[in-house]
Amino acid sequence: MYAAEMAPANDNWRTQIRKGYLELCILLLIRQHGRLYGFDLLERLAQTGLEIKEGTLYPLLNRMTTDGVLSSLWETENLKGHPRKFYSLTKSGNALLDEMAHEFEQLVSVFQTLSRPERKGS
Amino acid sequence: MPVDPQLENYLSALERALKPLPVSERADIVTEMKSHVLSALDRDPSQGLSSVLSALGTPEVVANRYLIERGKAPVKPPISPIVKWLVVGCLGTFALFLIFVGALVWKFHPLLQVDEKNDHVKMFGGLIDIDGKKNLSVARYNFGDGWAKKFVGKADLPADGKLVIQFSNGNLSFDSAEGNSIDWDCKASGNAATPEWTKSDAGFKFDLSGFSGVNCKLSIPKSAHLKLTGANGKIALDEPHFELDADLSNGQVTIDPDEDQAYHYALSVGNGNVDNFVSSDKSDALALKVRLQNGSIRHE
Repeated sequence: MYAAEMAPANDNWRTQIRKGYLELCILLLIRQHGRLYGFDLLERLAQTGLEIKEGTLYPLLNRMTTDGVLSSLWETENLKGHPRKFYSLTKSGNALLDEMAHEFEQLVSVFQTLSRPERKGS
Repeated sequence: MPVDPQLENYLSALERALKPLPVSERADIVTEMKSHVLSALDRDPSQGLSSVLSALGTPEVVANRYLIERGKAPVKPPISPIVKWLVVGCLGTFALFLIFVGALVWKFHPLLQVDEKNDHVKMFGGLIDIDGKKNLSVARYNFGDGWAKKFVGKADLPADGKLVIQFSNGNLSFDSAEGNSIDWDCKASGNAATPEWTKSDAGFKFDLSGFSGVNCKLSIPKSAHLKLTGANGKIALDEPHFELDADLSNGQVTIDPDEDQAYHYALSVGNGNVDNFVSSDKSDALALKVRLQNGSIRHE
């Protein structure tokens, strides 16, 4: 009934939740592999079903680096290759990820509790 | 490794769009973008550079994402050169128009000036000048009748009836006067003094030959004998009741005879033609003698 009115709010909600979720996923992936470069990260995110545009990922990595969550290092893997910028978690990045993961677990837990069909009769 | 010019352009546009960020960061971002493009092409060489770049978005869009993430105001997209030149063209045209209008106002100021003392109305700084006689001149060119001098008058016919009129160029029309006086109403161009009738051996003389052009209406009394001499002109005789002896170099003579009056014609044209005039042998016929070198004598 309110579908038409709900649509923009729905989009906005999705953007908001995705943004925080995306940061969490990036941090998780980097921690998992130790270090990752942008294109690699993009592909791995896509593999997990989290499609993200390159034009969104790189600015986000840039901001997370200036925030001190990530550190970056230019490296050329072999003689033929071009330099790649590898990202890894800083100490505060690790701490933030722990915090975020904990927060997210709580959120999921609340969600699961609330969305679980009530078994006890009313 | 040579860089594709298309990629080069993209990266330099990105660098420009990242202006609000420090130079070192700009260089870092540009290098990372280049690295991304090369990685994407390494992974799937079948896709073209264009598709990799279009997946990234325009340099301005990518730069703005960076700036927004960093809490900086996004850079406005550059004005397209077409719009820029249109604006320049419009402003230029407008400036030229202003200069033109300014020049007009300056040149034709004051718009309206009434000079009661001299009985003149001047408009557009004197471009249009109307005098008290309603003569209109535009840019000092007289649209009135173009005559410098006007003179009218009346004189008594001398006893012998002999009249002499001389002119250089002009338009003279004659009709018959009711009384015994000669009337004239002339306009003339040139700097000669206003002529007067003067006595001479040949008769009572009116010399208009000093003017470069004359336009006269004359009323000649009955029983006058007119001797007319001119160079170039148009002569019109409207029901003449006087005798004429005319000598003319070039021009046209038009005679409108009075049906109740008999005339004796002696008309000759060197080069040209003469209409058919029927002469009368009556004793009271008036002699009309015209010698024209080039031109025509016409029956009205």
